[in-house]
Amino acid sequence: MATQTICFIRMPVIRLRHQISVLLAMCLAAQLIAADEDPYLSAISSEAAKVEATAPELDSDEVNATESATEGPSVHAFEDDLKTRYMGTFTFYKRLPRRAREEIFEEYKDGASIDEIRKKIMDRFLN
Amino acid sequence: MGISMKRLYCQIVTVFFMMFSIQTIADEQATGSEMAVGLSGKKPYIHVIHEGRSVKVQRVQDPDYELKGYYAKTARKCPPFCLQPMQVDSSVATIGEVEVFEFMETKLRDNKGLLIDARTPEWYERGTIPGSINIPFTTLSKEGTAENDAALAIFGGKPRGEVGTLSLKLEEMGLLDSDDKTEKWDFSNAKELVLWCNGPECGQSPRAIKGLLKVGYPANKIFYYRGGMQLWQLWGLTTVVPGE
Repeated sequence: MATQTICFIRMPVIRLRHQISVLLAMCLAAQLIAADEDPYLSAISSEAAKVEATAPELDSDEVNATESATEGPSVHAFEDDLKTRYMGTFTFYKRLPRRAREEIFEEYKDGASIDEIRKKIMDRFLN
Repeated sequence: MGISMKRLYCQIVTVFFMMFSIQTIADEQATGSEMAVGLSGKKPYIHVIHEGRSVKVQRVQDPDYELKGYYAKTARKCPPFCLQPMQVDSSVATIGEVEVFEFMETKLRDNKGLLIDARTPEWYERGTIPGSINIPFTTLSKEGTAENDAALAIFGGKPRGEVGTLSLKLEEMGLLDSDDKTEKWDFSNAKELVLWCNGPECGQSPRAIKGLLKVGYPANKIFYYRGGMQLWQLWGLTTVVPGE
């Protein structure tokens, strides 16, 4: 009976010890991860301060080119792209009335996917 | 008589096809000749949507241009800024600039892919590659956090919720489709990702990629652009400052 009592007391103690050691191991692992990442993060952070927030230096002509570039793709570039990648769709596109072509180009400029553009061209062509 | 008509028809078609090919080549050469330094053999420039506006990605046209500033540096303290291996993982493809252009024109434009600037926000704010979104490696390398879950959802991953033991067993046995699925995530419709950071000396995107692999993101949908910002700028390619 006495032996049994000792066993009952020992069991939870062993379990508790096990849980604590698992928790300690987890804490240690977490600390190791944090120790590994924090110096890296602080090194990255101090290095970032050395970067100037500018694009590569351009001469004035190139600056103008870049400024106009942000206005969006030209119809010519769009049509070239369509012709290169989807010749069939381009053939149907060319047969559309001017207004429909302009509308499709506007959607392309606003970021419509090429799948949507192709579908729209076929819709406009068939209807 | 019938045979000679057929032959004539065949010859006309051939001539028409040749004329069409010549015209296409001439068109391409005319476009390319406007720019002295093209992006690649085929493209003088491309357009990419960044923060809702279209940005023309091209190279600096001055042949005498030399890179200045931070990205012209040849060395940084190592560790921590050590040269990275060519491959982050044997299952993940490493790509170069031409593949990035191709990705921008196809997957990115068609919303089937994302260009990820995996650097911390303070780097992103100082300039990025057009079309990129900023998901720092710190987010992607912490599995199970709300931030990580949100990022995976942005990439097209779907949380699976409670999956029954039987379903998991059947998936394990190959009786149910388990491609691109983990216990927690369904990556069947996940987007293709190109991750990049500061260049060959930068460990931020490799850490992000390792984080993604750890959560089970399909390796064939991950691409590592090792050149990063340093090589992008070395080639005089367009960069943008977010919010400007």
